Amino acid sequence: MSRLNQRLTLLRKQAGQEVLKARQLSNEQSLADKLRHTRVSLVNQPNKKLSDDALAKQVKGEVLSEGLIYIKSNYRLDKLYDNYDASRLSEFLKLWPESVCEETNSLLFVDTETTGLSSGVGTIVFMLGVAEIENQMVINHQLLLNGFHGEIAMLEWLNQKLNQKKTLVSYNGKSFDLPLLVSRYRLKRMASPLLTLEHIDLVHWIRRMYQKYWPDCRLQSAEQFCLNFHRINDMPGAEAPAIFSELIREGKTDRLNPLCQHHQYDVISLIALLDHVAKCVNTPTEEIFNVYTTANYLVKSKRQILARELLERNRDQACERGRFLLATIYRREKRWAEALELLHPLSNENYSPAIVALAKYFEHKQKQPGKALLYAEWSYQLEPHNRHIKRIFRLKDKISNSR
Amino acid sequence: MHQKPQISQHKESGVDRVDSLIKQIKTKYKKRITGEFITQAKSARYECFPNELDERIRHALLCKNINQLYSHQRKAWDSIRAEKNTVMVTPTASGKTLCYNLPVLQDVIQNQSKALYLFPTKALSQDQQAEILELNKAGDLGVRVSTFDGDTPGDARKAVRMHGDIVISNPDMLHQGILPHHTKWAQFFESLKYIVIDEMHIYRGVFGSHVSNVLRRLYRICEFYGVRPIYVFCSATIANPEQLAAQLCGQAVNPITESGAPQGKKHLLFWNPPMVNPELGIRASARSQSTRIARMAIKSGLKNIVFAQSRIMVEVITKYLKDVFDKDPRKAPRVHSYRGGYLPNQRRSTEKKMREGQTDCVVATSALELGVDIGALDVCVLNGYPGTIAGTWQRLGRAGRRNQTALGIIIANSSALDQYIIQHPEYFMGNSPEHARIDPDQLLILMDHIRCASFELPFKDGESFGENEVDEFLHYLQDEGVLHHEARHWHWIADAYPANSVSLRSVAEGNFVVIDTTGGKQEVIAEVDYHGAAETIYEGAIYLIQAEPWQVEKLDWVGRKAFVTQTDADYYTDAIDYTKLKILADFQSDQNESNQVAQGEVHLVKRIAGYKKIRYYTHENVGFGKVNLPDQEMHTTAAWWQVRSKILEQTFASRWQALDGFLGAAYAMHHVAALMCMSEARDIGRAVGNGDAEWFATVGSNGRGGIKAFNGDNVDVEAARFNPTLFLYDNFPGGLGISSGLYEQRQNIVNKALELVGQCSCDCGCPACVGPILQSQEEKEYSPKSVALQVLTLFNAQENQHESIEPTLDAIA
Repeated sequence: MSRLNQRLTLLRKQAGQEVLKARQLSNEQSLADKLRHTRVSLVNQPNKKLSDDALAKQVKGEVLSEGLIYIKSNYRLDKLYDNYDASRLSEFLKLWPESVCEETNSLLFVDTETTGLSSGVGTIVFMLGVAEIENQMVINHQLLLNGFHGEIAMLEWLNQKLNQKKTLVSYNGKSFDLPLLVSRYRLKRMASPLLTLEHIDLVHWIRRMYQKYWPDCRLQSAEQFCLNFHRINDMPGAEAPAIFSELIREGKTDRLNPLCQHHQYDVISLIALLDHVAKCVNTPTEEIFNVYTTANYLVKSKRQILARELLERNRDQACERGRFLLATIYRREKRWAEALELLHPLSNENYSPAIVALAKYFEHKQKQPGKALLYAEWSYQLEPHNRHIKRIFRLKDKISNSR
Repeated sequence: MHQKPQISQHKESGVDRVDSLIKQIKTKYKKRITGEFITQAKSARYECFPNELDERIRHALLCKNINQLYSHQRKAWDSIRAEKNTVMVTPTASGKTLCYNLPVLQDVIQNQSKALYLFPTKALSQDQQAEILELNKAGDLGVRVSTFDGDTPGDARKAVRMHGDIVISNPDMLHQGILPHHTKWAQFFESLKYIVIDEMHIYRGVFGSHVSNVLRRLYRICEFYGVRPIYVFCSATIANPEQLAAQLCGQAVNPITESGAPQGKKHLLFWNPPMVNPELGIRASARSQSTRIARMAIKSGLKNIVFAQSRIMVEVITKYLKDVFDKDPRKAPRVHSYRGGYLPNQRRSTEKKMREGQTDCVVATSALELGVDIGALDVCVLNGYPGTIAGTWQRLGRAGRRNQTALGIIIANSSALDQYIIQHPEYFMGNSPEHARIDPDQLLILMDHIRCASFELPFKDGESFGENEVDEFLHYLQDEGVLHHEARHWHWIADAYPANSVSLRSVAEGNFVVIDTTGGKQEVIAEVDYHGAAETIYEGAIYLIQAEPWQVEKLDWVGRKAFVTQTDADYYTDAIDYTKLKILADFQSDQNESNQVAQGEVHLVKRIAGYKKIRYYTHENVGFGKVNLPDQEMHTTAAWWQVRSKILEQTFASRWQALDGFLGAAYAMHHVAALMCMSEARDIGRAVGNGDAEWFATVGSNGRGGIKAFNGDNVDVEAARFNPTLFLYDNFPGGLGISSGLYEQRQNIVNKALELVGQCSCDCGCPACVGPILQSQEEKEYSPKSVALQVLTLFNAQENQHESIEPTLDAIA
């Protein structure tokens, strides 16, 4: 061992690699001393590890099975973070554009803490947070690994939970938490219903609605701007890998409770944010730009009918872009009369996309180049752009050819 | 040939135009031809389709006018269908892709098996995909073939993983993109039956050693998914295909070396440009000769290809030829260029023009060397020796049609290697002398891949990786804080993705990037290995990329960056290094009454003290510069040669002469050694010193061999202990198994070096034999060339040989 160790250290230094950052000991010690030192620490390690019982006591939880600690906490739905009222969630969800069932007890809110921030099969979930709603109460389950051998039990526990639910709610879970969990199931050769459940990833909604207005769309930004919740003395999630490493290698737990707290917030925020987003989607007047952004998101995600219904409900309050989007949807559905009903007033407001749309309508649909030319020239006055000139010339050609 | 029907274009009235061109060249340039040989036409050997061949594939082949197989294709079918790992060594254009495509397609359509194809370059992958798709379409096989590489868009990747039957990728992608995400590929791995590795001879040296470890990782993942895929390799002709294949995949491999494909008559000429300055050994440029021959070929109505070594050279030759043949802009161009850096559709269009015979001449880099189908040509001109014989044959394979003579011409430039090859055509006859060597257990490389493998799947106690017990390595990684041992398993615990920091092209990380700052830009244009940095990118150095010169303005040693600007300097720079080598252990040795050769472990310290500016062509010193960089230290393996001191005293009038001889011999042997083991010259280091590291020899500014202590002080030659030793060492920390190959070939290397120096046409030494010499050296009482020959002769003395071969020990053990 020591020979290989010595040899590797030497060669890596010669190859320009930095060596053993974590264990650079003082210079007075000989290499042999350093190696002895590492030997000793290796021998001692297993003893330092906390027993499951001791760990459970530390985090105020219980031992679920070998290597797996379970922590349970309850919240009132109308008093999340003491002051956020999410008690009307099921009501808002009735009008939710995706086909979620409105029973809040079929939702499962999921978040994870992992040993690494990179993807790839070497990263594992060591803390799993899962919340559900029952009778206006939130039950938050946290599962914590005390070493790697508790993982199978954790995955089995999650499978049981998943079997009772219909819809997952996460923040960025589609690209991070879920692929990671799927990978863990595969590595343990276990099947899982994970990918068969419906999944609302709130980060997509938040991005659609606020990306233009916020510096970033991290969960904590959403908490601050949407929920007016500001975390105090929060343990940054980026510390999670180090905290787990300390726990299983050295039995250190001093930063574990703050991390558990951090993780609970992450999960509770999913509930509050779902409430906020659902409320905005249903009553977009509260923040007027949401009508358009939401509808636009729906169109882009190929749910045009839902977008139309949303715009129709809020037609009077909608901004120019919103009304134009609705006209565009009508046009695609060949409901020309309804489209014109929106486009004419928009053109009177000198909204140039509407004027262009009218020019096209008269040129291609009505085959009235003369009328189209009027709109085309109008659009050029508002916006002296080459593409309008092309249209004008083309229309003039058409007119002179028809004579 | 029956597989790709071609139309005879230039056989008129019984006189073969190629033959008449050869005659013309041989009469007009008799003195420049240093050798020639002819391989006679060989008719095809056919076998019928195997009975079990699926009807749909049979139909697809018939659609392509193929109604029987070449004998090697049939052998490959039988071997692969018998589930044997197989390596095929066949010449260019012998239909090697069918060798593996047929059995793979059969298994895909009958059993839903999957296959992974690995090619060293992206361009090749695309051509392969196109070829399989063609068969697929002709036979309506319904096989899904996809490439998966850095260019595959994110949304297509999922489809490839889920639905690809044949996935075409490269080793780097397997290493960084597939293995660390193998769970996403679960469906693919669960049915993986074939791993096809084409252009196997590329996987040698550092790259090959890495790839063998990537395959170890792949095999581990396959075991996890319960499959044992079969390996199929294809290689250009090298001396040890079976050994290399077996080393790469860690299993026995069945070789198929006899090609049944037909071959036209091939005429190969070796062309040495005329000497323009015999004193300095300067010859006319290879470029001027290549354009001359290309012009002659075009004028004779022959389709030809010119291979150049660098992109810039391609452009220069193209320009010269276009100036002659494409003056009239109204006519379609007759000369085209083809190199890396062109857009894919540009390249496709040139390929198409060549296939359809619309172009007369194409000037190309090695980008065209591999696999790309351009139809057959009449003449192939190599502007400079491509560096390996295998590579030379691959390029020459571009010329050749059935029933007609094809001409290949190798034109040497004035480097030692080129000059050596051009004077030894016999290298091209008979068996290949080239051994592709890898060292899968190179300690640092092995360590890197054990690290990556731990990320992909936890190791179990007592598990092995290749032949290596891994427990010690895992303890090391635990100390480093990336692994955690629990319940007999080693779990990855670091917040890092190890494959990202492991490059398959270098030993360990720590590479320097070269940044172009010309005109205020900041563009990374090259990477330099850590171990090569001190002698190539010191401040003031002229650094060549593709033969274009750049000057290093600033070197950030800690940040591993070199800032360069473009320059048109008429000189190059040569580092003055003080190398101290100390022998730590002999692994094997061989001695007789006059000399001793050994191989073993050495400790090397190198200091770059400064550099010389050397003007091109005249090789005169035009200036010096100082370099201030940390010493480079390395434990590695070396082979070394010594002469008994008594004989040394008898042979040489002075110790100075002996030193000059050792230095010249080292130069020659270094280049020959690179040839024998298919290495780049920079992968091998050379040094002359006293075995006990008391002094080392260097060529001083007076042009004389001198000896210095490591601190730079001159040492009195006559007073010092005098046991000069010539070292050739693996220029990598930990070694790379090159030196044990050198030891095995020790007789050969000395012999060939003797020939190189002895037959060089210079007077007293030149860059083509013993290294550049100064004008002043010609006036000395002895020439550097003659003393080098004397040293080599002493090395070559073989009487009373007592050989003591011990088992080859790994330098690391």
